[in-house]
Amino acid sequence: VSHGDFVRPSHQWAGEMVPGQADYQRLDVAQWKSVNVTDGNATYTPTGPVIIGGAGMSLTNASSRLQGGAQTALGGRVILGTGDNGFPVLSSIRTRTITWRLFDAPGMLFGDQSPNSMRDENYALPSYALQGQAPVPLGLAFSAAFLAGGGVTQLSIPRRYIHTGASISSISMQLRLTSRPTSVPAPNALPNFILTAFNAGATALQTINPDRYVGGNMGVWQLNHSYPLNSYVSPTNPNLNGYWFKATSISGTGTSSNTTEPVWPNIINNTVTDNPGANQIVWTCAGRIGMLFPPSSVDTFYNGGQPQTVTFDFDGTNTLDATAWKYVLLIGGLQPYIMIHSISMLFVYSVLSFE
Amino acid sequence: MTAFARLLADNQYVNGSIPPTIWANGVWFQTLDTNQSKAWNGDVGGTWTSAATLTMAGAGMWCCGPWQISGGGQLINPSSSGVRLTHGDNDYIVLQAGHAGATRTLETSFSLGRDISGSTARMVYSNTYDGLINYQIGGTFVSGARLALPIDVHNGATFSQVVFWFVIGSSHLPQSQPFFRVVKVDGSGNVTPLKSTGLTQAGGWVQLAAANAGAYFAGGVAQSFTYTLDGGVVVDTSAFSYFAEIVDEDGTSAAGGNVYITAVATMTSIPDMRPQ
Repeated sequence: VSHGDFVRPSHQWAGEMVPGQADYQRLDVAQWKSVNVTDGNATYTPTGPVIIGGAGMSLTNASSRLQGGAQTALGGRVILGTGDNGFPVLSSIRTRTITWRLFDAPGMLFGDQSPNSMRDENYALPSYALQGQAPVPLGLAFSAAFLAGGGVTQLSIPRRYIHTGASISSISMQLRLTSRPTSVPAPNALPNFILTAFNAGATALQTINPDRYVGGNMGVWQLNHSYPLNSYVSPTNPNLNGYWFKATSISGTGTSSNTTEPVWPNIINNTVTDNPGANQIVWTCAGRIGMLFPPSSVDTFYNGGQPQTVTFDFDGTNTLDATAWKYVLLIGGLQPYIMIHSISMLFVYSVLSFE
Repeated sequence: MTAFARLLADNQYVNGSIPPTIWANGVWFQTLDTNQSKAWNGDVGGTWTSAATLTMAGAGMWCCGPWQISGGGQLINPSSSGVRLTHGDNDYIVLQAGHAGATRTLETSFSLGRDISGSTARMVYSNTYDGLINYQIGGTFVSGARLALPIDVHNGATFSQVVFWFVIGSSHLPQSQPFFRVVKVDGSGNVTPLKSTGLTQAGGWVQLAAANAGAYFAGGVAQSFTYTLDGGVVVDTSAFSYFAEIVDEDGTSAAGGNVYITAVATMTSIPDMRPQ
């Protein structure tokens, strides 16, 4: 039945008639089975589905649930309306890691536009081509001729590796040393990278907090400099320790010391007070800076030729959009004995939209 | 008050007698009246604002008419419940006509393009623009530079246009300005141009047509050229790949230095949220 039966046909409800006990009983049963939508707070377990056709149903309460699941059928569709132009939302944030194995990266050269350098055979070679045999670790290795151009390369990340609409939490570069070097480079010459983004005409850059790219909002710590709250800095080169720092508290003018660089902590969330006193700054170790941690020895640097990871941590205030920006990695500190295998990006998202 | 209770037990309704509790006072009728006023009028519809959650378990509920979530309403799939919104009929979540998400642009960097000039490659990476630049080999211009770019598209969308971003390397006016086209290529390598009218040259080619050297160079800033496709080009990535193709400037007064930066494809009429 589509709804409750009549207690009796309408023509049997005559004037002056007295309902019988069966009428009362049926009325009682009918009211008992009906849905109390005014008070709610009830659970109904119908033996057959309650089918709402006609003009349908509208849910206007934010706490409606699919506790038992729901399914589309027979042409029924879930349609996202134009009222808020929204997409399905996830009740809690989700994370995902996308890894770009650089074996398929196009060869790109920074600072040298001679055609021969662009040609794959002279640029960054898949490792099997270098070694001529398999199996070998796959990755990009860099010829001495290429590195003579400065040891820096630039990789444009294909759009399919970017989760548009997500916040990037961290980005890591996996690499290894294919032979034991004779010395350890200075901290700023260790393998490192910076993520940046160009617009369509390459006339503007997206700020990716904290932004270490040229002109970005994270500079090298300066003597006697006034820093506003939430400023980002990296230590100066001799003091680079693999982390970046955020001004989480300032007093007075928030001016850094004019004589001494702080002794930077190397544990996330640890703090150091710069220029203690009325105008002090409290710097918090907030994330990895995207460079190999300064090794204590050549052997540590070499790591037995085993994979190593370089990571940059963002502060969670970014939203990536590969429909409007081209994401580019600037990689430095390259040497003939360094092979890069992959780039992994950790994304945080809460909306299911088009990536 | 929750679900309605029985007013009397069945055994109190006896043939030939009316239970005194019905006649003694108006409670039975009043309760019946109150309850029916609180009940759902499934035939006519209406608006109810339940004081507490209404839970439909058992065989569940089917909505065979339109089901709308409005007024800030949400349909929450409880965390860790294992419950799913299941799509039958091979369907997907649909975007209502006019939904902002039904139109989007997709940028593809020319750095991901390929030099298809032939035996003498000359398109090299430009770190300044993250694109490809026509390198002037040994200071001598070599004609015939050509490049192809596999462009990002949205499967199922209507592909309406591509905006090419580029920079002209120096102030001059070549005999032949750059040509642009957009094509689809099937699995057998067959090329189909996606524009058939307003062409400069057969095969879908449209040529830049700057009036003079100043307009052509534009002070060396990034310029854009819009290539509008035929109407009704629906992207089908199951059968085709899509490419932007450029033939760089050539002929008398031609020079190297042009940079092709980005192809921005416009996708419209995206029907649903099928996987890409």
